[in-house]
Parts: sequence; structure tokens; C-alpha cells
Amino acid sequence: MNSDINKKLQEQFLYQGLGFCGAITASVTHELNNILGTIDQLSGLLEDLALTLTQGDVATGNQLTAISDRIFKQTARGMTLVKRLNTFAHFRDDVAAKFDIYDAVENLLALMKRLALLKKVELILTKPAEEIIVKTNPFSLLEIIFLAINRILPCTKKETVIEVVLSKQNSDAVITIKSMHDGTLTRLSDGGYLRLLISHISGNTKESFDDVYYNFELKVPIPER
Amino acid sequence: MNNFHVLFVDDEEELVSTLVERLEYRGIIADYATNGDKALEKLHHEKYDIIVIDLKLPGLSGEELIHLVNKSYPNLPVLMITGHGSGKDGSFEKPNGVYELLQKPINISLLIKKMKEAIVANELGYQ
Repeated sequence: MNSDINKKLQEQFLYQGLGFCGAITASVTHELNNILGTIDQLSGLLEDLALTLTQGDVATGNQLTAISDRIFKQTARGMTLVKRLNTFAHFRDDVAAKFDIYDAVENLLALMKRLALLKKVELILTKPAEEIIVKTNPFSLLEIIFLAINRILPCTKKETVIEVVLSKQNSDAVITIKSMHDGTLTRLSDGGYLRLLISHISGNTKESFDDVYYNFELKVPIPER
Repeated sequence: MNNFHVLFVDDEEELVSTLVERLEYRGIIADYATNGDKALEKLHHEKYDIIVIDLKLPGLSGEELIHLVNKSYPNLPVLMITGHGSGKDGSFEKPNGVYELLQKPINISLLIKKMKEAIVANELGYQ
């Protein structure tokens, strides 16, 4: 019986984890597609310029340099995004790892930036005063943060921010997600899977709100050195 | 027939501004907005012959914008562009009120051809 429950849980973790990866991949590949599309248009612009040259116009070195700079900026943007996606993918390598929570969350929020911008919301991360190293399942922890942000995103007031604050409290790392809501918190999903995942990494959570603000707090134990 | 006025709506500013530059090389008067609200503001002040809308927009979505444009400017033909791949062939169903749905990356010759077709179809009352 217990092994049946375990198997079902594993299947649920796998299924939901795939959903998390899918959401991140869809958003990032959409952005990569835009970057490649921009490079494609900029190359076309160079070609347009070359064609006008043959018709007797003179392209200045400045014009060419300006377009080339714009291409470099897009390739740099694309390379950063690919590097971030690769870092994210490697969080699946270990079921338990020691890592700097700021680095992991900063990378996740950068990958989620577009998802939030589509809702006209900005994600802001506050750097902790000191380095916080946690030992837990890194992929599950990121999935929890993703789910918690994704859950509040549709109820967040447009043109505002969702602030993620990392801090240390006694022997816990504390992740706080704060936002101004738009009065539609009744639309929040019950978060059953989110709670299950939090208990899976031995974390504790607290959720609260008033007429203006919504607050989600997650505590993860810091390992003894 | 390149003397028409087009408004692009896409939040990818470098992409859309480059497209506008390239169209201007071809004698087409082009303008852009990076979200739905800015597009509606431009439509209020300028007269356009066609509007090209990206499906994924921040705030007001592409589909919501198309609905508003169809309602307020029923004689303005609409093309839609998307980088969204759904279905086996990467196709996405064309919403109502859209003359043609184009996939990113955009081929400029195809884009111009479709814009001309949409304008002519609209003038003939086929849209």
C-alpha cells in the first residue's frame, strides 16, 4: 500500500515537474525566437543597405557599425539566456545539494521575467545581507518558488512588482514573496501540490494578506556547518 | 502599390523597429507600438491602412487588441504575427477578424505581399 502511495507521489512530482520545465522552456524559447528574428531582420537591414550602395548611395562606416552593434547586443542577449537555461537544467542533476540560494533564485527570476512582463508585473529580488547556503532538493525549491509566484501573478495589481526577499532567521533560510494584489485573491488556487512539495523538502510556509498586500513566506532549514 | 501606412504592435522593440526601417527602405510608411494601449492611442491620432499585431503582448493581449480594433475600426484590416508554436506543424488557429496569421521569423517579402492582399481585400469588401 505504502509503495503504491509512494509511486503515485513520484508520478505526481514527475508530472508537475515536467509542467514547470515546460512553462520555463516555452517562455525562454519564445524569447530566443524573438532574438533570432531580430538578428534575421538586422541582417536583412545590412542587405538592404548593401543594395542601396549598388544604386549609388554611400553607406557611412557609422551606419554599418551601428547595425553591427545591434547584432552583437542581440547575440549577447541570446547567449545569456541560453546560459541561464542551461544552469536551470542542471538543477535537476542532484536530489540534494548545497547551494547559494540567491544565485539559484536570481537565475529563476531572470527566466520568469517574460512571464511576469506579459501580466505587466516586474519581478524584483532583494539580495540578502550575507550569503545563504541551503542543502535541499534544488529543483523542488525552484519549483516551489515558481508555483508560488505563478499562483499570485494573475491576482497581482498591474504595473506593480512582485518582490522576492531572501533572509536568514535562526537556522532557517526565509524566502518571502510580497506583492500588491488587485482584490481578486478569491481566484487563488488552493495550492495543494505546492504544500505537498514544501513538505517534501521539509519546509514551512505561511500565507497572509490584507486589503492591499499579499505575503507568502517559506522557511527552509539551513544545514549545520 | 507601396504607398500605404502600417502600424505594427509588438513588444520586441528592436525587432519591430528594424522591420519598420526595412519597410521604409521599400517606400512603405511604417510605425510601431510596443503594447496594446499605445497602439490604441496611435490609432486614435493617426490614420492607418493596416495593422499588424503580435499575439503575445504585455497587458492587453493580441487577441483582446484585435477584438477592440475590429469593434472601433471595422474597416482597418488586421494581420497577426506569432512566434507561438502549437500543434504538430507549429500552426496556431487564426482568430476571427484577422485576414492572415504569419509565423515568426518574418519574411519581409511575404509580409508585404500579405499586407497588400489584405488592403485590397478590405477595399473590395472581402474581409
